[in-house]
Amino acid sequence: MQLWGFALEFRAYIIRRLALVVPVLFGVSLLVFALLQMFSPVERAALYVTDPKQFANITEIIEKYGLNDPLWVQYGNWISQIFHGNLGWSKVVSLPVTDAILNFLPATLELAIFATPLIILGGIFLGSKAAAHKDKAVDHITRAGAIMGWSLPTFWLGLMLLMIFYGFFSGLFPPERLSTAMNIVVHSEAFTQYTGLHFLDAILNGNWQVLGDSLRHLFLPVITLTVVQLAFIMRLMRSSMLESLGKGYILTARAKGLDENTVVSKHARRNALIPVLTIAGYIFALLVNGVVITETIFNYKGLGWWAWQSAIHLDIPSVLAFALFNGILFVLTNLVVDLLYAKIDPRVRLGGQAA
Amino acid sequence: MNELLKIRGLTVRFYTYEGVVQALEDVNLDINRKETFGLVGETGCGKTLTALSILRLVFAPGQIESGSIYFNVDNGNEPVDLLTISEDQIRAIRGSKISMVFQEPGAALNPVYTIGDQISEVILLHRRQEVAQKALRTVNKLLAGKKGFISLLAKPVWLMERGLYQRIAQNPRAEGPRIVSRILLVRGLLWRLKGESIKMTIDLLKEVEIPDPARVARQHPHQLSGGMKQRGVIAMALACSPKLLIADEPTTSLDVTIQAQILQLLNQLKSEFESSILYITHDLGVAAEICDRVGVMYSGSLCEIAPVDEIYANPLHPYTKALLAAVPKPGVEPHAIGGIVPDPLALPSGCRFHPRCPSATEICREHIPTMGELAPGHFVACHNCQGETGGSSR
Repeated sequence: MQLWGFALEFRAYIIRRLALVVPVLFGVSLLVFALLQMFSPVERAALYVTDPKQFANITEIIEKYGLNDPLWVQYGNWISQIFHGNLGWSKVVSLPVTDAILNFLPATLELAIFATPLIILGGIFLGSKAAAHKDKAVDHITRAGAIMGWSLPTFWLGLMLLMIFYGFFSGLFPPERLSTAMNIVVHSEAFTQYTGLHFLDAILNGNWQVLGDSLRHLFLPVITLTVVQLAFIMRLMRSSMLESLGKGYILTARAKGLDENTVVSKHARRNALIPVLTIAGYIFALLVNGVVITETIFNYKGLGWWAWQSAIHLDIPSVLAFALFNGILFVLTNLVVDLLYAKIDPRVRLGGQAA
Repeated sequence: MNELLKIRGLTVRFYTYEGVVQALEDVNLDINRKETFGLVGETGCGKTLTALSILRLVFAPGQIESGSIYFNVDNGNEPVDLLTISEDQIRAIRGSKISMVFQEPGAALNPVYTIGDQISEVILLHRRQEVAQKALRTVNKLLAGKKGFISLLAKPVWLMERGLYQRIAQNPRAEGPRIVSRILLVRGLLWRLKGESIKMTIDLLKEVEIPDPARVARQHPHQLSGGMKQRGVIAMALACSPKLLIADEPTTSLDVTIQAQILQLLNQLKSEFESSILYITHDLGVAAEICDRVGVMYSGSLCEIAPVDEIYANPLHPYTKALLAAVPKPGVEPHAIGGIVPDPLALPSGCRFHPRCPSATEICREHIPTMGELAPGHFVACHNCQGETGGSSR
């Protein structure tokens, strides 16, 4: 019976938290819409222009999309356009924006799928190891490594890695997403693109050559991302863990006669995870957003690369769509982080109705 | 042999950047069986550190320099020195033979686990055999029960469970079950251990007079009041019927009515579990209420030890006298002790109390006084009290 009550408490929290997403998303859309209003109707009409010839009847386009209407009508139109999947035309890649996102997202997701667990689990593991052996050799080495990793500029590290693993060991870990030959295979009739994630498609198709090639190309960008971000998580985990290890309940756990391993991994770590979780969610969102510098250095065409191209070519629809995508992604990541909080820390579940 | 615990020459130092802190200097005290020994003194005089030394939980940069703590586990057996036994041995004693109740029940409980989880953890650790026997009985009952479709399906699982529980019942540290307990899913076979230990936890919570113990066992610390939390912590400390219960100011953070209840509970449990209690407090009133003997501590060493009636009626050490005079009484202006607690980095020479002592003489500045028995059971470390047995109380 009581177990059921606990489940109810947790479910109430989830529902409350989910309900909050709606107004936040509304706020995000308002902000992006406000950005859009900085442009004149003529400029905004360019959103829907797919061919330079259409500029002749620009006033018609303005009329058609109601760009001179009152703001709230325009907002309604804009939102309904979005709900119909019409985000405008991306000049940079000559595709509708929606297609462009769907095109570039898998590449970035591929990076995020490999980098995130490495960063988060690795950071948590190393951080708690360092804290448990404070001021010992393990601690000094991981800390020195973390400071180095965190201080290395991404562009420098990426270029160095390319120089060594692409230049010196010629072609061991090349840039881009796939080699030319494998690219042809992937786009051939025989190869079904289920997800757009090359490594996953390769597994689903049972094509091990493509899998190997895709992993080979992923290696350097993933390493570059991991080295920098892992340092951050690790340092955070270490300080959070040290704080947790100084708490009274750790002394209680030791006074119970528990061994050091249980004290650290059961009693200290769970409490130390809470601040780390926030940053982990942030890092994940950042990675899915596309990591401009890394993608540019490795000529790895993902969302970051596309957003950067759009920005320098004044491709307004793409930039706005990217901003909207960004906002939604952060809102959703925060939602997941909050639910995980409640899973880890029972105090969070009580929320507004604290007893 | 009536002593349960004998501390001899315990010296603890903290090696900090500012210098060496002589936190405990030559502490000697005995705790007898089934007695409540009160350790009183001002904040920072080393009471808690003495307790932590007994459990060998002195934290860095602290270090136990010298001394020995003899603990008589079973009557008749040779007492062991807690400071020299191996890490595994001391872990087996912590929480089972000697356990500790801390000052802040809110801080002493882990916020992310339920009360039941935290108490059953001790039971699963130290009373594993007993738990396994109970689980074994349940499984045997199931195996002997009515034959039906369900029992036919479950029988292989029950047999596996029985094998594991038998092994644990024979040897709580048996390799097989330990390996099983580390493997995901397979460790589900040991689920009855947890269930049985939770049942024992609920009994314990009943023992410490927690209403609706089954519900409280499923609650997290933040859902309970301070008094309830402290009862939970006491239940945790009593889970293995310890020989010695160290209570470190267990009532300081609670309000007065709850304080009285907790004191009563401790007294009651002490006779029930036949434990000794080392009761640490700065409150002389509380000490008078609960203790059989009292030791007064000042700046890292004991200055007076006496039976509780004796120390209140006939305090000999100037510090004890000053401490008693400082207790607020209705209608009487309390006397604050002149001077300040010495800086632990720069302790005075000779008797550590001499700069604040009204009757200090030349010898106090030069020589550290030794403990002498002035009356039967009444020990004092003071140059000026030697031979003076009839000092008057103020």
